[in-house]
Amino acid sequence: MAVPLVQEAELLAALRAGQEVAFETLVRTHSGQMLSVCRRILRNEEEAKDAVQEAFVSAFRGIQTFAGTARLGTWLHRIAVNASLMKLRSRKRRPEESIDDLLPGFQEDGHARIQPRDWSPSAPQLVETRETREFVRGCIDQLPETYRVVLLLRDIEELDTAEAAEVLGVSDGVVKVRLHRARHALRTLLAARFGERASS
Amino acid sequence: MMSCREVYGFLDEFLESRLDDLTKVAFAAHLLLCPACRNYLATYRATLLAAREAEWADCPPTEIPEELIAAILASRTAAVQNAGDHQC
Ligand SMILES: [Zn+2]
Ligand SMILES: [Zn+2]
Repeated sequence: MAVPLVQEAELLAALRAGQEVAFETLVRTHSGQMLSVCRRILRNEEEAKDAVQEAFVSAFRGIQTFAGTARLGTWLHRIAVNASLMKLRSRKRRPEESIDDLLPGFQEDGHARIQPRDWSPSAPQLVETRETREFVRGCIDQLPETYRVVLLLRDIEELDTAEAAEVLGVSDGVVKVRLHRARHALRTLLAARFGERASS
Repeated sequence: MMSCREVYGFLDEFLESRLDDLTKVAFAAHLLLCPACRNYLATYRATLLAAREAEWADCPPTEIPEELIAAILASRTAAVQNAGDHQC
């Protein structure tokens, strides 16, 4: 999917000039990547397709102001993330469950309540087959929404803390705390598969 | 001595090499003496890798349906025409 820089500069010039064929090239080159981003965030095929379409509408509008310092792919990736988040926000909100039960507990003296086993040598099994990968994705889906989203943005879509904070409209500190909790909680969920009992 | 609880709290900073020197030393010393935290660190890392792999593997940049491409391009044409209308 990597387009050489020279071609990208030409494409950008053609886009700014409003050439029809350039828009089609842009859509054909990047829409697949954008659809997978929207699918990961929305977990719903119809909404993901809508989000891609909405993302391109904002991209077409923004192409004149696109600074050209970032790669087109990176810029579109960000727009797809934003379009997906907008869709998420428009969903009917259920009251969010607490993540506390999934976080490691500690005794007075600072020791963990559960002695963790090292199941990391078996961890590759988690991603070996489609079925096990589905299990992992299912665990991610079990995270309360605000935590799931931060984990996706930071660890899967690879936004940095400041970028994630910006698209979510929260502070860097909030992103860090949510990411931290989301990772611990996901670990708890995966550990259960290896016989480590969940904390209570 | 750093507690296990503190070690858990510093995991992200550790993984991103953002611990200051003093904390780094205390963190390493704790890990050396505490197999439980070593286990936790190893599985914490494994969790992050598994999440990434699971999300990326079955969701590659795919062929996109022609109807969607057509719809996207049509929405641009509509937007251009609308903009044109306003200019008149
Ligand atoms: Zn991406
Ligand atoms: Zn420890």
